[in-house]
Amino acid sequence: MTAIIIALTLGIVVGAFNLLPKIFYRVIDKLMSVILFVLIFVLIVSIASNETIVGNLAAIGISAFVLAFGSIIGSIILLYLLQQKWFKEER
Amino acid sequence: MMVLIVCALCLGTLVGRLGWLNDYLPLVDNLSTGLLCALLFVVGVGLGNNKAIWRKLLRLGWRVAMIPLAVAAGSLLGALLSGFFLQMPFQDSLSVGAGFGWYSLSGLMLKELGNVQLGAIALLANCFREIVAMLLIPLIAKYLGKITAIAPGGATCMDTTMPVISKCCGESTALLGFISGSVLTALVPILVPIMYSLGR
Repeated sequence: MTAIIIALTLGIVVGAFNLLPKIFYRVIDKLMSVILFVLIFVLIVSIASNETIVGNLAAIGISAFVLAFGSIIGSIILLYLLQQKWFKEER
Repeated sequence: MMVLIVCALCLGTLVGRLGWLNDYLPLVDNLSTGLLCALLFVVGVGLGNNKAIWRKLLRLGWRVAMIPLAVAAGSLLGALLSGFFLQMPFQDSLSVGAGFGWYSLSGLMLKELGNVQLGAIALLANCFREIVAMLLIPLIAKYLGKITAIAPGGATCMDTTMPVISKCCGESTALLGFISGSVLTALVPILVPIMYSLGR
């Protein structure tokens, strides 16, 4: 958690003072896609090799999925309503 | 973007299940923290470099605080309704929903509170939430709007799903997501035990 906040803050400072060469801003998009791909891959590898998670899938997987689905849909509906009311220009 | 995420999910599941990287799991965990920091650094550079984003944040003012509140209320209501459907005690479904996608903490807390089974459900449900969020963010950004794309990630918007939001909705939405994710992250350790002990 601390590492995340330090990384983000450091990035903001570096960006604000233009400390990086111009080429960085041209490759930033491609670079992010590549890192993001590897990140999601390693995250899923560690979830898929977690025996507590996989071992419980059969017994409680359905209940867990229904609860996750409910929370996701609920938050999407409320935030969508909020967006339509107060964030019209952000859509 | 969507294709990339689906490929990473499938490949990760395959490699994880086949156990090809099992000998390197501690390394894999360190790698994911390192990559996450690298990504957040890159997102940060974009944020620091774009002064307009900060002016926009000031203009939005108090409305920014409404985002995590809407996500929290929606998650809890949705979990509550799902819980009725599953015929679970309302405290149980609410406390799983109060994990907001932070599966390691919510799972652990409920286990410590004395309900091992519910801890496992919270772990799985919030894990699903993180995975499903990665798939939904590109779709929501396209069809429902950028702000709404912050919803599925919940607390994970401050770390794992933030780069996805940044990629699909732009840096300014990623900043709003980070703020919302931080608030929700702070709420998880408070709300999970409160929800669990409601009326008990």
